[in-house]
Amino acid sequence: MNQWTRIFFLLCSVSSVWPVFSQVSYKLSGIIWDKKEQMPIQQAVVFLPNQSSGTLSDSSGEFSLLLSAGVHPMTISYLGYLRQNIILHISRDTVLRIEMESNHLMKDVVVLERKKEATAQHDANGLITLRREDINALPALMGEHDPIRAVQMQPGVQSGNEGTRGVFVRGGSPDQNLMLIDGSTVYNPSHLYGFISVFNSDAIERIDVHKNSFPASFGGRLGSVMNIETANGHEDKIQGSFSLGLIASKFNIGGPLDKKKKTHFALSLRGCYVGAYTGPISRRQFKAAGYNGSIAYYFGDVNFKLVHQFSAKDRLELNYFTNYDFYTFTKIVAATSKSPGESTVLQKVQWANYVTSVHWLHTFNSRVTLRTAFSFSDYELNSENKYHYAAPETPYSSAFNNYYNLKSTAYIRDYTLRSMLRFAITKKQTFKTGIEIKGLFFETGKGKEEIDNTWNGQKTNTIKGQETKALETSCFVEDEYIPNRHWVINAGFHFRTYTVQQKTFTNLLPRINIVYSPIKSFSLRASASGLSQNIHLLVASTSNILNDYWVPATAAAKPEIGWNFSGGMIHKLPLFFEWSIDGFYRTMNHLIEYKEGANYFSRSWESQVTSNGKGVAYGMEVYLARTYGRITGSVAYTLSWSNRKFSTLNGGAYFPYKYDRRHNIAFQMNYTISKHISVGVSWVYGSGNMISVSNQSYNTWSGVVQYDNYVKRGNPYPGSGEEIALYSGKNNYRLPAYHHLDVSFTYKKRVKRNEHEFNFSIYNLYNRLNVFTVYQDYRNDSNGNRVLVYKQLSLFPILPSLTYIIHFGL
Amino acid sequence: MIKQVLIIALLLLSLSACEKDFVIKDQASSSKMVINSLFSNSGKMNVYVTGSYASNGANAIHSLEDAIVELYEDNTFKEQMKYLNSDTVGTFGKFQSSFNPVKGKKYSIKVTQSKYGQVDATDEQVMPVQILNYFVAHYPADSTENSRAKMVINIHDNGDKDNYYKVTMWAEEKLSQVINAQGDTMIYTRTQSYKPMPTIYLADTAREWGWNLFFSDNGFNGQNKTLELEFQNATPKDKLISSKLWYEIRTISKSYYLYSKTLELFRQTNNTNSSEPSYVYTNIANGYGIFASYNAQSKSTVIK
Repeated sequence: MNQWTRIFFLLCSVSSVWPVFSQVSYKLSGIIWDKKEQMPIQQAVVFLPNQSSGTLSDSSGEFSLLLSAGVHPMTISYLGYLRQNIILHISRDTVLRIEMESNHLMKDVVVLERKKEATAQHDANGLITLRREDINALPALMGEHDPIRAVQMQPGVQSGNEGTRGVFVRGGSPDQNLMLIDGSTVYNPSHLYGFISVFNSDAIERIDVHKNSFPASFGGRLGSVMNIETANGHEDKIQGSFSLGLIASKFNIGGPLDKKKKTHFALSLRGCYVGAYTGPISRRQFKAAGYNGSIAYYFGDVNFKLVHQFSAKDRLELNYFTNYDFYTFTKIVAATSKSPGESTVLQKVQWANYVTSVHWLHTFNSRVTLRTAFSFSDYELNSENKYHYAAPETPYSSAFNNYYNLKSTAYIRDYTLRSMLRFAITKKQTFKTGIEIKGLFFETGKGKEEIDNTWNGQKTNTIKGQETKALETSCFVEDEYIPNRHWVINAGFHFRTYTVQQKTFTNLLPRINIVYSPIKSFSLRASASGLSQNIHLLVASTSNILNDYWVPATAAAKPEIGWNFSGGMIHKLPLFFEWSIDGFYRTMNHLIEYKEGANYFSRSWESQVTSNGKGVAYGMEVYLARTYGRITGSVAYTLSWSNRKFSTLNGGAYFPYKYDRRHNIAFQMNYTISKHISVGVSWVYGSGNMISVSNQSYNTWSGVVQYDNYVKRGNPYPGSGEEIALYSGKNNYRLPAYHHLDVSFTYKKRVKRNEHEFNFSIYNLYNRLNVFTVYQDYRNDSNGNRVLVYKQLSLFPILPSLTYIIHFGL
Repeated sequence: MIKQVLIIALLLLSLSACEKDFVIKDQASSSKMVINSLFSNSGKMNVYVTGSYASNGANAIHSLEDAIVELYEDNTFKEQMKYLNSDTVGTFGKFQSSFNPVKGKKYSIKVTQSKYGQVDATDEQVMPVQILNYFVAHYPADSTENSRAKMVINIHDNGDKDNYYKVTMWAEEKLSQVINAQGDTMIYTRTQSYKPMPTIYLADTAREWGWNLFFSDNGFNGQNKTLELEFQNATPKDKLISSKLWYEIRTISKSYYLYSKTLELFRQTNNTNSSEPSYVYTNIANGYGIFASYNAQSKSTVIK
């Protein structure tokens, strides 16, 4: 990591102003409840007759809609219950609790309205749900409320250190989390090497995090499922927002496209043009150092959603999501009187996700629905490394030319067709079944090499990459049974096949989750889930960043399989407090790791790995939250272990996984001081990652003799000769803990139909220099001896940011 | 103005986000005794005793001259090895036996030192391989990938245990060189190393310095084996007058093999910023290094 790369990251990290515009609409959310049984009702129909649209309640009985201010008639119906008709007066975000009775006498609907909760919701099943407002409650980083950072505040979910991509759930690696956006896989969720996620909070409606139990409808990963649902356009009118910041801008627009309001759309754009600053600044710095060059970085992302309601029974959705990152580094060293040649170095790196899907939702009747979708997901990484040195003929040397250019490409693509049928058999039992067919295409190391030099002339080599095609099919059955107010049982099977390199792997994966609620406010839960995944992540144990490498399961590196056992309790307390404790035990099989001495940059990854490893992760989580009031917040503590074992590594003994985190704490609090002013604070702490460092050295026989040879001749030995670095074990050293404190101050003021919001936030208030990477280096000591030293690179010191937000059309 | 303020802020922040030395704290392992001894029945046993040192400091190799090195043969104490305190190069930390190891006998050492405590190690003096015959099958004047020289060696493997071997090849060449316009020539000799490349499957192969060949008798234990070893013989610009082709075949103990194999991997990958660390095998209990035996036989043939 050179000075310029470091500065580049810093430039990217600083934004004095990054306006964030949120959707201009009010959110109506609620829960539908059986008044007698005191249980949630799922699949209840929430219908807005004026808009000819509506939604269904989920397994927790919850639903949400976006509505404009004004009067909205609404009906709620469900088989066996009386249809309820409500007239809503919407003037702000609203939460409803609707209690329905199952007799045939019309009863008044009880509507309890209160302000919405300001923290993630943890339900009795172990499902965590974050909505946009939960995400926006956190202090901003670079002025941005990152959805993944909000997820990382939850128990058992950890962030990596600075610069590590993705999230880490219960001792797993980032690849073990299934990231879905509207049901389609997102393979790389990060901009800027992990500092910001690719998910634009403006475009997100909610995120469901499954880590305790895994419904049979989900599969394909060992660790967790993060299902991101994007927001629909406003029901009644076109609304939008636009922001222009110094380094980034956003644009949002959404609403109905026709008079009957049967077609709606939502579009969110985000662009970062920090390169416009890094370019001139780096050019100036390069020039001061005596050469020309520049560094530039840009990223952008797009979310688009189109929804058409053909009839009360048929609905079509089109979703498109893409993000694009582009980084260039140029360095030109001109000829001098001592060196007649000019050298040019050019590096370009570009990576992108392209995700698109089409969904058809058909409602046969109030009990049976069918959702069918086709999706395409593509993650591409392209790089170009160019070097050119040219020197003219001089009296002392002939003309010399050396040009080398290496272009390489890697991608993961999938084409997926899936269909899921949901059947509410009775009010106590819901059955789901589905099938999915996925074609997977992996390409690594493909490239082209261009050579033009004085020795060999022009030459172009095509580098054949390692291409892997695979077919993945899965089906599932899932049944949720609620015999009475005390018990909820969700059980099913998930069956997967994976065919690669003429070999087929099959896995039948049982799932069960049981919830027992002896009283309304207290629940016990236990679950067991069989899991598998057909993708691996190779992690380097010697450095902390950027060498993690995704590869497909192959005939030699079999799909990973494992079990997840989880149990715990959640207790709702008075004054809107709640707390929970969960324990977990996870097993993982068929893991792969770099073998001893493996080269991270080898073109053939299969030759560098050892397979059939085992892993185990276990621990406990404690969570305490206050969900409503002027002061809201949560604190989550996770104590965990994550170890792995390979017959060919570490003497066959268990060793700590790179992302083994013994302690993890996430704290957040929001205090609404007045109608206009609020303060937020968050603090995260995590034990450092594990890496391999040499702690002792010795000399071989030849090294001893060589030393002797020099010593006897009176020439102090400077440290050459055969010296062996000793490692007491794989991943034998824990890096310093990662922690930082962030605060934010928000001032809001409404002027007519607009609301202006100023947010000032400080990231890393006490300027903790967290480890970005540690690497080996050598230097000479005062005696001229060559000494091994370790270097630490830290990024992101204290970072203030100011955000201006305008909400208009209120 | 805003842009200038921003630039200044960026530069200030770039200074605070720093690169600094990283101190490895609370290292799990402390300094241990290091034994280096590769011995054979053709000479007295030498044991080099030194101490290991912290990796993130200057090379602090130090001999442990006050160590007590006890030598056992088939579990029977034979002698206390002597420290060679001389001005001769190669005696740093060197203890030596008074006798040559005997083929087939098991040797153990116990090394005691006041600071480091005691370490011990055991290995058996391996038996020599039986060389049935050998010959040069092919020796082209201009060796290429398609026309390599080939040495054939027939051996009989000792079948009472698993054996490991190391093969080294080199040539002593005599050449003539034209030294002036009158055509006067000069005769000179040189030694040329060759990389043996087996044309048949050999199990557990490894290299030393990317060159010398290791393999095991897996697949021909107790049987005769024909080793066909190709190599690219040198094609000198000067006229080759004659070449004396040598090979050495060593029977080595398993510890010797494992040590050599892992040491080679270490040599290739000892840049841990771009590769995983590798671990060098040791059979020294409570210490580091190697105590292992070999038996070497060298043969030659003259090519004209």
